[in-house]
Amino acid sequence: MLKGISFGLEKGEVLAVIGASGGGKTTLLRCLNFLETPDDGRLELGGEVLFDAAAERVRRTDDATLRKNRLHFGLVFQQFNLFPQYSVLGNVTLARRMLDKQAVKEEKKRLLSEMNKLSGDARRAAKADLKRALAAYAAEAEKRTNEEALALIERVGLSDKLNAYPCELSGGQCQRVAIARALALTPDVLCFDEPTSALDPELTGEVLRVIKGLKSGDRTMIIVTHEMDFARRVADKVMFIADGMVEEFGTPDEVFGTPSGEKTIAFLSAHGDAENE
Amino acid sequence: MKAKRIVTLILCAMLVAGLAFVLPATMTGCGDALRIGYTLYEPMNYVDEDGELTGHDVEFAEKALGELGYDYEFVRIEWDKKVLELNSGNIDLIWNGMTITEELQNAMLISDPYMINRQVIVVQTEDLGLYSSPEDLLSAGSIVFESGSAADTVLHEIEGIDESILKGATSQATAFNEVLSGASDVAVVDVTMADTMLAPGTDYSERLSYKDIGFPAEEYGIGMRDDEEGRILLEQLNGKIAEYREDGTLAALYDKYIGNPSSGEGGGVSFGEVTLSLLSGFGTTCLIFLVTLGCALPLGLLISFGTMSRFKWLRGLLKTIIWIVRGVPLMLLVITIYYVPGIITGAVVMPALAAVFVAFVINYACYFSEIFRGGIESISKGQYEAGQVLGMTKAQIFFRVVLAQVVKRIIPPMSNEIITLVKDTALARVILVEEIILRAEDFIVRGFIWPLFYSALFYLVFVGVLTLVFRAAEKKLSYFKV
Repeated sequence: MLKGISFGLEKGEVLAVIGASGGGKTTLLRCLNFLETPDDGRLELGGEVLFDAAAERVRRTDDATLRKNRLHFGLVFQQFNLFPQYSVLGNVTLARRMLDKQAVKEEKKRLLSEMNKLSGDARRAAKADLKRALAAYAAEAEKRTNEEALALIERVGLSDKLNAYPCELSGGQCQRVAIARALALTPDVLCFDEPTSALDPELTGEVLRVIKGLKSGDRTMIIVTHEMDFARRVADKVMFIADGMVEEFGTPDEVFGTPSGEKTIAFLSAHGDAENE
Repeated sequence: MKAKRIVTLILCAMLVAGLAFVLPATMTGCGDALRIGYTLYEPMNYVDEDGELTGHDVEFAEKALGELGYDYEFVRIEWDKKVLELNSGNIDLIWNGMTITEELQNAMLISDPYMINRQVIVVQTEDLGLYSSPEDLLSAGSIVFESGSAADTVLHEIEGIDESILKGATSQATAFNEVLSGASDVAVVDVTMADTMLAPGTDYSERLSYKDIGFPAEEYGIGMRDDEEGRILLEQLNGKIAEYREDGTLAALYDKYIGNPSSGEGGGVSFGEVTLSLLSGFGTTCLIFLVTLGCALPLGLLISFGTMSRFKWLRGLLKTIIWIVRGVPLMLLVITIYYVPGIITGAVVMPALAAVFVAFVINYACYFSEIFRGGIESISKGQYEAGQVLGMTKAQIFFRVVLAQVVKRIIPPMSNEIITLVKDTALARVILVEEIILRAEDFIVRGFIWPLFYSALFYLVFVGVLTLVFRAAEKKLSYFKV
C-alpha cells in the first residue's frame, strides 16, 4: 500500500493528511499505532527508535514493549469504536485504570520479592506496610484518573452526559467521547482517522471545533481528513498522499496555494469546488 | 499469548473442579461382587412399598448366592440389551424370569429351568372373543410384543404369520400402552406381567383383559457369560436348582410370589408416593443438567478458542470432532460411551451416570463452542483495535471489552440450547440412569400410566424458571447495544 513515505514533524505541530480514498492515508496512521507492521522503515520519536523493520526481522518486539510503544500514540477512529457496555466516564477511564492496576501489580511483585529477603517479623511488618501503601496509592490513582477524566469530558462539552451509554449519544457526541478517551492516556502524538466521515453533515462542526480547540503549543496531531477548509485553517503542515506516495508536503499555503504536482492540482480542484460553495 | 494461556488455565481448572466434584459421587459399585442384571418385572424383580428390591428371582438369587458364599449386587438393565450388558462385563448374571430360547442359548450359558411360564394375549376387553388360538392371531391388524422376549419367539413360530403385522417394542409395558391406545390390536406378554398390570384398580384394568390362548409353555433359566467363571457358576447354580426343587424351596417361592395371583395389593398408588418417586428422579435430572452445564460451558469456550486458533491442524481436528459429535444422535453417543469400553476390554469402565455425564458434556461442549465462536466472531475488529491503541493487554481486551458483548449476543441461542439440555436429560434412561421419565415408566409396569404425564409438570416448572432467569439476564444487559 504505502511506498516510501518519509516525513518529519516537530513537537506541537498539526499535520493534515489529505488525498483520495484508497491512497494509503489510513494505513499510515495504522502503522504509527502499530496496528499494522510495515515491511520496511523506521519510526523515531524524540530521538528514541520505536520501530525498525531491520531489527524487527531479527527479533520481533515483545508484547509488553509493543504496548508501551503504542502509548506514545493515540488514535481516534472513523467509527468511534466506543465500548458499548461502558458509560461515557467508563470509556474515558477504562484504559487508565487498567494501566494503573498493572503498575500497582508489578510494583507489588517487585517489592514482595525484595521483602522475601527479610526474615520473620520484619517481613511481616514490611508486608503490612506495603499493603497499606498500595491501597492508598490505588485510591489516589483512582481519584486522579476520575478527576482527569472529568476535566477531559468537560473539555469536549459532555459533562451532562457523564453516565450516558454510547447507544444514547449522537454520532458527534460519540466522537467527542472517543477523543476524550484517547486524550486520557496523554499520547505524544494524537492521530485522527477521518474523524467526521461517519457523521451526519450537521454534526461535523462540533467535532471539528473540539479538535481545533486541542491545538496548543505542545500537542502534536496528525489528522487524516476530507475537510479541506479545516485542514487549511488548523494544520501547520499538509501532506497530500496519492497511490501510497507523498505527492506534496508543506505548509497549508504552499500545498493549497501553490500546488506543484499534477495529481495535487486535480485533487484540490475536485474538492475545492465542493468546499467553496 | 500469555493472556490466552491464563484463560486456558482458568477454564481447565473449572473443568477439573467440576469433574472432581462429580466423579467420586459416581465411582461406586465396581468391586468384585457378582453383578446380577434385572429389569423391573413384577413379580420376579420389583420394588416393594418400602423401596426394597424384592420378588421371586430376587429372593431366589439372594438365597442361592448367599449359600454359595458370593458377594452380589443387583444392576438394573434394559431387557433388549441384556446380551450386550453380559458380554461387556457390566453384569455377570441375568436373573429375571428369562425364557430359555435357542437363540439365547447360542449367546450365553443358561442354567437348568427353574420355573414354567406361559405367554398370554392382552386385548381391549370387547375383543376378547376374537382370539382363542394362536392361529386366530393371523387375522389381527397388528400384534405388539417385547423384542427379544419369549413372546417374540412364540409369535414367529405361528405358521404363516405376516411379519409386517408384528411390532417389536422395547418393553412389555410399551406393549400394554399400544393396546390401550388402540395403536395395536393384540399384545403378547408373560402371564405374570399381565396379572400384575391388569389387577383391579390399575389404569389398564378397566379397558384391557388377558387370555391364555394356548401358546406353548416355556421355561425360565438363569443366564451367564460363556467363560471360565460362567461355567463354574453354571455348575453351582444347577446344583442349587436341583436342591431347591427337591426340598420344596422353589415351590414355596412360587406360592409366595405367583401361586395366588391378584391376591397382592393390586390397589392403587398414592399421589404422594408418585410425587416422591418422581422428585428423586428429578434430582438426578437436575444433577445431569448442572454437571453438563458446569463442565460444557468452560469446555465449549476452550473448544471455540481452538476453532479460531491460527494452527490449521487444530482447527481441522476440532471441526471434525464437532462435526462427528453434532452429527451423531446423543442417544447413540450415550450408548457408545457406556458400552464400547466394556466390549473392548471385557470389563465395565464407568458407572452409567458417569457415562451420561461424559456423553452430555462432550455433546453440549460442541454445541456451545459453535455458539461462542459465532458470538466472538460477531464482535467488530474495531473493538479489539480500540483496546490495542489504548495499551490494553489481550486478556484485558477479552475480559473487559469483548466478553460482555459476546454474552449479550449469545443469550438467545444459549437459552434455546440450555432448554433443550433440560429435556435431553431424559435420554439418560437408555442406560437405565434413574431420571424422572424412567421413574415414571416404573409405574407403568405396576399398571399406572398417569405418572408419566404428571412428570411433564416438573419439566414445565424447571423450564419456566430458566425462562425467567434468561429474561432477567437479557434485561440486565439491555442498557447497552452491541
